[in-house]
Amino acid sequence: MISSSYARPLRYLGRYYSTKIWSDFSKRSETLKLIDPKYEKDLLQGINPDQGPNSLVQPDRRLAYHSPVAIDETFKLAYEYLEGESAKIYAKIDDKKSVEETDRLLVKAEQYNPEVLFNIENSPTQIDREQPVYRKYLQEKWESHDRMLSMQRLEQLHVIPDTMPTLDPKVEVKVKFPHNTVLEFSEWIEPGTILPAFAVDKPPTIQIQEFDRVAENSLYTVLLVNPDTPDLETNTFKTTLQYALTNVPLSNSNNVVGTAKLLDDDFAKQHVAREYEPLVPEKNAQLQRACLWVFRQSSGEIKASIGEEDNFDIREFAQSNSLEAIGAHVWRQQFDRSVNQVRQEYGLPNGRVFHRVRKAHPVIPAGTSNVV
Amino acid sequence: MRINSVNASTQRVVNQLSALSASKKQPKLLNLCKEDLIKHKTITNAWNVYQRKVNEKRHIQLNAQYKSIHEAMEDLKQTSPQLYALANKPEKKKKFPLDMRMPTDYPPTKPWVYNYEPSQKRK
Amino acid sequence: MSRLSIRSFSSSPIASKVGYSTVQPVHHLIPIKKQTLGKRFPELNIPKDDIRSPQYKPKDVYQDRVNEYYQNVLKSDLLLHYYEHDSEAVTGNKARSWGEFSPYAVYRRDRKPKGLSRATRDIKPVTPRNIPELTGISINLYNKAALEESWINISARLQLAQITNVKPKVVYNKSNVLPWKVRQGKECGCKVELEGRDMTRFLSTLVELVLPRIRTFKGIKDSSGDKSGNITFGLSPEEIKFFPEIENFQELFPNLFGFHLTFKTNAGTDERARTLLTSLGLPFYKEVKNVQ
Repeated sequence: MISSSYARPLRYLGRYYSTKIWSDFSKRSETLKLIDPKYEKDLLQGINPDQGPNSLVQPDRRLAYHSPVAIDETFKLAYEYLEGESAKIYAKIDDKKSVEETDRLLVKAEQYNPEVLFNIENSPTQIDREQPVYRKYLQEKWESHDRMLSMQRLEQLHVIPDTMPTLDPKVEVKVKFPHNTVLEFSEWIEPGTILPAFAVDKPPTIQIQEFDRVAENSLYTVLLVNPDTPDLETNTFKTTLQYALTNVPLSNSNNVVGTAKLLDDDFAKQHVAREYEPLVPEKNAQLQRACLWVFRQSSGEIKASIGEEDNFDIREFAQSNSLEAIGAHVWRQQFDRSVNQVRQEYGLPNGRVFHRVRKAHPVIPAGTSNVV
Repeated sequence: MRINSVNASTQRVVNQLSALSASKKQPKLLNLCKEDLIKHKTITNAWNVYQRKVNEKRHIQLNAQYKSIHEAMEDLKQTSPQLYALANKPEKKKKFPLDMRMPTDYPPTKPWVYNYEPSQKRK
Repeated sequence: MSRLSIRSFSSSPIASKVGYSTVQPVHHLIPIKKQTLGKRFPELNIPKDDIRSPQYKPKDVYQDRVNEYYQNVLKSDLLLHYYEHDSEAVTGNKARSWGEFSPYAVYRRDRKPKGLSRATRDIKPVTPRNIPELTGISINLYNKAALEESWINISARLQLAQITNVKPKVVYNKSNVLPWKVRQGKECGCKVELEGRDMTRFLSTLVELVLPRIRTFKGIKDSSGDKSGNITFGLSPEEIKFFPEIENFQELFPNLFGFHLTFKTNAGTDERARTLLTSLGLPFYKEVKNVQ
């Protein structure tokens, strides 16, 4: 099964790589190592049958556990074989290759590394997003579920095309409101959830995960709009801007706009173009959608400030500043008991109460009927 | 209530039906721990990579064979058109000899016939 | 603007009123697999080749000698055998057009191929990409006795399951034919489609253990075949006895049932398929017609 060609060092190839490439961290990143060292022995050397696997917490279950027959010997053989293949791929990488080509080879070289697989499976929040192999696995996971879910909600709730005409999602956008103490509202929000006003009364934490390699400090714009603000004069709705961040520098690993950044005065001054104002639906008004759009700024910094006009045209804004929509998120709100309190917090006027008004039916006086 | 008195032939049919049902043959789902799961994945990955390599190698070899057959026939076409016509005649109804066997896990007790003679063609 | 697209604040849109249904225009830039988005059965979203999936089936658990033999020995022999220099694809009999100018031909199906009811495939020259291969064996057991008493089919199904290691599917009558006592919807036998390792294991049992012991067996008829490379022959109940799975448990199978075997190949023509099957050890014989 194991070819003999990798047994000797690959010294004739451009650069020297040891054949024990997965245990050599002189040229590879340390973040490809197992994050939790307590599993290292069980994974790479084999489970001691007297103690059981470390991953099982309860002692009785640990002792009752039996590994499949001969798994450790077979694993060793498989590990050596894959490691040899990986060394061959590493030998192909040199400075002449383009960035995309190098990333592709790095993914190929590390995708079967059991330590990488263990990290992505068991500690997905702690992995190093600068490594292309981790981003590849994150992207696979996103595409298999979360991307479809968020697109389904955006289409069902008509965020597309009520706000922007369409979306070809390139990034994973996650939103949470960490000021909440209730677990239900403090976790990442599933797109389309109906949230109470108290749960959204502080600005959200937004994670924007890029999967391709992006330049350090690429600029992004985030807009939160409400397309369901009642417009009584015209008997329809208008779009209001609730929150705007512009020129936000992000990268593959530094990808969160959270409380720490927002509390920083410099960041707030430079990047918050419109202060956060939560949706405060009025009584008996329809469910309102809070549509969060993420844009890549394809032509550098945005200089123009956002006007205070009543009806915000998000399409026009995106076009005039050449913004490319790459991700979106949505949650919904309706009137509840906490709305008035949130209105007070933000110094907003008291809300209206809508109620049914019967139509003034035209009463046709007798005798004027034009029925022949 | 269980019916005890069934005749033998009915009982046989009942047994046959229970032998066919899948529920008794379904193996239990293996609950592997996290480490063993990754080990299993790695073993599967290695096997798949190895199989891919073997298939690639076979494919390359067959392509090389095809190329050399093609070149030989081109050559023959140039040098001797008569021989080429003979060589390129399709062999209709050609069969592989029956004496050519597939390898099996349980070969016969007498694996090799030493005084073998091929079967005579009928005239 | 259509009436549907104007949202007014004071009244509900016409689309949500009773008695009005519409399909919203959607444009999926991302195809959505709705069945993966449910939360009730998360284990069904695990891919089948993952050991955590309930549908996981271990593969490659034993050496497949027949497949290895085909890949390592027969493929190159067959490539050489089928080689024809400067040969080109023979176009099959295809459906014909009704002509360009007839207004009646708009949206009408193409005309049937000449002399046939169905189009036939092109016959392509054999290259390393399309060397003929046995893709499957389908076994069809028609059980006449089950027409009268459907429990008899249980025995037939078990017999097939024993021989092939695959659970058979029950076959039902499609139409009523009174003189044959055929009634629609009644069980009339079972069938099995063999592929991969099940197929090679069955083939090797058939060729090594069963066929050599049938005294009257001359081979498969040379005329058998469906013109596109699938070859069929039948085994009678007496011949079924030689399968080792049946032979050693004869008292459990008091009545045996014969069946038809179809060797499915991607050879394209019967002639090529026959050569392929002889390489796998299946003999053929030429039918001699009695001339008086």
